[in-house]
Amino acid sequence: MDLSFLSDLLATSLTMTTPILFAAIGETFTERSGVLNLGIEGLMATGAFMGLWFTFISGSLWIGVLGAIVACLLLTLIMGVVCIRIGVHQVIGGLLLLMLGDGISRFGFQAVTSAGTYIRIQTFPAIIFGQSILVFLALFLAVVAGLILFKTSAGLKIRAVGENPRASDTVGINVNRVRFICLLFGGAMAGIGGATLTIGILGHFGEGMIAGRGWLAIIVVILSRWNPTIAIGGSFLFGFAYSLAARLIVLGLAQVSYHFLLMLPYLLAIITILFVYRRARPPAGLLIPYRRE
Amino acid sequence: MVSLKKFLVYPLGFLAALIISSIVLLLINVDPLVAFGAILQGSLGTPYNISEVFVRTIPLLITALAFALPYSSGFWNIGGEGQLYIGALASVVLALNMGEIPGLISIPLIMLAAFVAGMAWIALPVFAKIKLGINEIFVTVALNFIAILFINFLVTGPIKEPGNVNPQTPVIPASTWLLRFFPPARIHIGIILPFVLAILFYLIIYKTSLGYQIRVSGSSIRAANYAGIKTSRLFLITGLVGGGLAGLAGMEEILGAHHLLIAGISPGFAFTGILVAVMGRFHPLGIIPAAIFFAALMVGGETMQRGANVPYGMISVIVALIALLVFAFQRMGQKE
Repeated sequence: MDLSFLSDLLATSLTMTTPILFAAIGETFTERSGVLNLGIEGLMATGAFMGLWFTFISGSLWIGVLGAIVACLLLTLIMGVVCIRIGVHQVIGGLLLLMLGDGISRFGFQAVTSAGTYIRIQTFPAIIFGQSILVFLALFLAVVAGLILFKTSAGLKIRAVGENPRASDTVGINVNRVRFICLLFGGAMAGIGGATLTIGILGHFGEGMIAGRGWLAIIVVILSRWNPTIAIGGSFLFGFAYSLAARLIVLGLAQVSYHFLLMLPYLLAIITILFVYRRARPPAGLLIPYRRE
Repeated sequence: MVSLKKFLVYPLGFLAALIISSIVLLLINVDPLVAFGAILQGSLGTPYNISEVFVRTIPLLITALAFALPYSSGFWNIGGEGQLYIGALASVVLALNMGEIPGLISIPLIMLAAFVAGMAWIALPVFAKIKLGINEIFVTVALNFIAILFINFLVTGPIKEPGNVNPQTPVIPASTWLLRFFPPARIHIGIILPFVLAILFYLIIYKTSLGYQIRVSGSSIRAANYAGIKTSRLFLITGLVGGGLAGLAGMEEILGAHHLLIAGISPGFAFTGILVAVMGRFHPLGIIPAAIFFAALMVGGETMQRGANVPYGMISVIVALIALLVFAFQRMGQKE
C-alpha cells in the first residue's frame, strides 16, 4: 500500500463525495423547513440524464447543469403541489416522486438510445488536484449554505418554519411559501448532484446508475445533524466507501467478489443509522403539513 | 353519492395521466393512439398475453400487501424488493437441494422457507425500530441494495449453473413447479395465493380486534398509546409478516414463473407494489384491481416497445403518474 494508492484513493473519494454532497445540502434546507423529500434518488436520476442530454444537444456543460436544474425544479414542483398544497403524506409523495424521476430518466435514456445515439461527452475538466470545478462548487456551497442557515434572517425563518410553524405564522412568515421554496431548492440541488455524476465524473448515463446515492444523501443529512457544512464530512464518508470499493476492484482483489465490495456504502449506511439516529433530533415540524386554522 | 365521488378519482387520474403521457409521446414523435393501441393489444390481445398479465399480477399484489400491512400500523416497509430477492433465494436453494420428493410435501416447505427468509430480512429494521426507535425507512432501503448485490454475487459464483454463460442457477426439479393451467402460457396455480392473502388481509384488518388496534396505531401512534395499545407489538407483527409476504412473492417467481433464480429476477416489483398499495388506498378491494391494471400496463408496455417502438421506460412514467394523480385527487376530495 504505497503513497500513490492513498492519494488516488483520497482524490477519487472527494470526486465521489460531490454528487451526494450537492443533494445533501439541498435536502438539509428542505428538511429544516419541515418537509422530508424522499424522492432525491429519482431527482438525481433525472438530473443525471437531463444534464447529459442538454450538454449533448447544446455542446455546453453549463447548459447541461441548467437543464438538470430546470427538469428537477419541474418535478419538485409536482411534489410541492401534491404535498404542501394538497397535503398528501410526504413519505408517499416522496416515494411517488422517486419512481416518477427514475422512470423519466429511464424513458429519456431509452428514447435517445433507441434512436441510435449513445451519448458520451467530455466531462468538466480537472482544474486542480485532479478535481473538476463542480467539486469546489459543492464545497463552497456547503459552507455558504451553513452561513445562510445559521447566520442570516432568511436562515432563521427557514429553521423557525421547520421547528414551530404556527408560531412562525403568527409573526407573519408565510409558512407554506418558505417550505415550497426550500423544497424547490432541494430539488434543484439534487438535480445538480445527479448531473455531477454524468457530466462531472463519468461522461455517460446508465439506468440505475444513482444506485442509492439519493438515499445516502438523506442519511448524510441526519448524520450531519441538519447542518450543510458538516454534510461535507458525512458525504465524504460515503464518497470514501464508494471509492474504496472501486479501487479494490481495480486492484483485482477478486478473492472477495466485487459484488461484496459494492455493498460497502450500504453496510456503512446501516451501521451509521443504527449508531447515530437515536441521538439525532429532526426539526420538530418535519412531516407535518401546515394548515391555518 | 359519496361512494361515486370516491370512485371518480380513478377515471380522473387515469385520464389526466393519459393526457400527460400523450403530450410526452407527441414530443418524441410517436402517435399516442398507436402506442396506447399497442399497450391494449399487448395486454389483452391474445390468451397468452392475458395469462402474462396474471403472472405479473402475482408479485405486484403480494408486494402491495407486504407494504400495506405494515403501513396499516404505521411501519414503512420500503424493503419489499430485498425481501422478495431473499425469499426467491431461499426457494431456489431449498428446491435444488431437497431431492426428489413429492411436490405436495416440498412446495409447502419451500413456501414456509421463503416466508421465514423474508421475515429474517426485515427483522433488523423491525427490531431497530422497536428497541432503539430507529427510522425503518432507511434501513429497509439499504437492505434492498445489499440483498440484490448478494444475489448477484451468488448467481455469478457459488450457486451459478456450471457451464452456463448467464448469471443464473440450474433449473429446479419439476416436482417443485407450480402447476400451469394452459401451457405454454405461464399462468399457474400460484395465482390463488395473492387473492387468498388479500382476503385474509381484509378479514384481519377490518374484522378482528387486532386489526382494529393496527388501524388505530396506523392513523395515530399517539392515539394508540392513549388507548393503551402497545404499538411496538403491532410493528413487530405487521413488520415481520410484511417481510414474509414479500418473501412469498419471491417464491412465486421461482416456483411459478421462472423455475430458476437469475440476476435481476424482479424488475422492481416491490416498488411498483408500493404504487399499487397507494393507488388501492391500502384496501384489498382497491389493491386487487390496481395490481391487475398495473400488471396489464407492464405487459402491454413490452408490446408497445416492440410494436410502436416506444421505450419501456414510458410505462414507469405512466404508472407513477397515475398513482400520483389518483392519490392527489383523492386527498383533494377528502378536504372538501
